[in-house]
Amino acid sequence: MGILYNGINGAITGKLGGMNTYVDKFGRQIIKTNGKKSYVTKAEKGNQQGTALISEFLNSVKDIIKIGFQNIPAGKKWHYYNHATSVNKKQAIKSIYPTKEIDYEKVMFSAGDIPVPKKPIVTLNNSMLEFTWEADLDTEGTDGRDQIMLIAYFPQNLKSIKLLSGARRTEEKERLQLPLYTKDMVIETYISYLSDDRKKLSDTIYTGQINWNK
Amino acid sequence: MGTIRKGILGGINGRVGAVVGSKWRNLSILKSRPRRKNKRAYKFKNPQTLRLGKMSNFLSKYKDELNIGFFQKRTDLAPINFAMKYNLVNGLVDTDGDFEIDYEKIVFSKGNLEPVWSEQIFFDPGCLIRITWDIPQTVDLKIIGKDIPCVVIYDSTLDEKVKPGLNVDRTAKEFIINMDEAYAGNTFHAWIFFVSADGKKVSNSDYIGSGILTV
Repeated sequence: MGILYNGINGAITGKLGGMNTYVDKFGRQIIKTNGKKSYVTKAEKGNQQGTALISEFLNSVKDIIKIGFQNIPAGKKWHYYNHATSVNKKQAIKSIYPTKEIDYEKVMFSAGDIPVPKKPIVTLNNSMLEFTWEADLDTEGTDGRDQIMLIAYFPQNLKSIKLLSGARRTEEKERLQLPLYTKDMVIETYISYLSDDRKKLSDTIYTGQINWNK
Repeated sequence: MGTIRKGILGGINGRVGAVVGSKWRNLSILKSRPRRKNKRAYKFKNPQTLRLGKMSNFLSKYKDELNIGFFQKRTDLAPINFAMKYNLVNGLVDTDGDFEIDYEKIVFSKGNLEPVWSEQIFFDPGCLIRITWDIPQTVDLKIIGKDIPCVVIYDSTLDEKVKPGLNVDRTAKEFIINMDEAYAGNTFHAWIFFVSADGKKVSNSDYIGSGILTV
């Protein structure tokens, strides 16, 4: 993408088709044909593997991160997806290059200023995930009308079940019904808050892995 | 077909008539076409031809389904080509020099529509194939209730496609196919994905399972 920083009278920077344009240190507008990379370093390969892992993961939960990462940091010309990638690629990948994998304990589905849920616990009862937490109304930034957001992610088949507007903070419990049981599954569970006007969020808290083997 | 890589500034890549354009030591060159080889292509020496044959033989049966499942993935690739590209990498398993299709990993569609949940296949007496699925309570049925299931069935005994007529939507949670008695004893594999009512969105396809048809 070539960018015209000062309109049509200004200089072009960036890649356009087979050409690469930029302004050098003497102020000259340079146009070159694109070079070809002769080899890819191990660190670059590692970065590529990280991007592949994160984009596969985020693509499967697009409808959740659309809400969870709606508050873009000031000054960034970002989309919610860029925000989610920026947060997750830094922290949610473990191990080194050939064996990189997603660290589900550190995955974030939302980011924001509301204090995170206190003492969240999840239990599985007859295909029903039961979440409990403490209302914690004394902490600054909390509101009794905050709603809970529940996510159950199935890493084996990249599917997710979510409740984007659950019980109020003061109710201290909410349930998430799983579909019909067919085979053994690993479920990663997460919890976070969403404010009453749906504009503020809390960070996501990992509530643990559950083996669904009825 | 020759493609010009860098517009009017670049060299030609590919064949136009009897001329082949390529790149050699950083030079864009044109060569005449090589003479036809009379050597036989040995299977074990060239696994790529074997892989390609296996996969295209399988996927070409499902052109209609792939046209729905991959209809807007890429503008420069036809749906069948996109499906070939993906499945050649993921959908084959190497068995000592030969290649077999890994039915569980074959993909017929890719998309962001609500996925298929708890899909199961039952082979009921009377030559019936019953496919069931579930809808989680958390989804909005107003949006996805009218989705149409697209069921893909393959008869691995006869190497044939079975095309079921579909007249149900997602809320039915069940779909029954009446098979002919002549197919009894054959092994069937099934996949499923959903298409939105306006035909503009698809879900990822899932392998349901396999089994033997009983009379």
